[in-house]
Amino acid sequence: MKNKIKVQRAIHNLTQAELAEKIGVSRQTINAMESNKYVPSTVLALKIARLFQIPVEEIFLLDEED
Amino acid sequence: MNYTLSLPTRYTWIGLAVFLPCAVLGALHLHLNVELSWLSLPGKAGDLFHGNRNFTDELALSGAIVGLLLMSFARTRQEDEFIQSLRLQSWHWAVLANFVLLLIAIWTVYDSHFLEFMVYNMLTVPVIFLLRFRYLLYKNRSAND
Repeated sequence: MKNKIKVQRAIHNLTQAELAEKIGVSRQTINAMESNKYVPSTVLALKIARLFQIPVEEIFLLDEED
Repeated sequence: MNYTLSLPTRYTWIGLAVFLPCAVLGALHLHLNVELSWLSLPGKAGDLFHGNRNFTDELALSGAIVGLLLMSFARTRQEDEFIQSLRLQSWHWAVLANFVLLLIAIWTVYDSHFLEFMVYNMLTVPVIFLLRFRYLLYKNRSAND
């Protein structure tokens, strides 16, 4: 799965640490998601979408391997 | 989220404070036969704990195990689902590495050295877990950490 967290983070002018604090996860989690090393749970994906105020499908996208 | 079988973060330090002195004491006992006299029980063979009059090694090994368990099960400052997945990976790794080490030792270490190895082997699962888990946390740290 691909994601656009880094792009959204830039649009909202947030650092990894600030985003982590806003959604209540560790900085490692943001870093791992941005480098496509971790696929978040549905709950976490929905929290990220709610924070950026866009549908979850606009942040998280299936890739060919999924 | 509720994480079962986990302790508050401060237990990392409490565990370390229990583990270090006990590990040093255990190593001194194992290699230099150091015994703490105040841990000796008066009495004769045939009493409770027959044949064992000094409890230095029991105290050292129990303390080392308890300390390592406290450190292993203490939550990180911001424990979440990704950290939990790192935890699980690290336990997998530790169990596998423990038995690979044991298999190697079975074929390469003999007699009293094997017994010495087995004393250390009792602690390798949590030790390898902690090293692996801390390494993964470090490797996944964010750019501005």
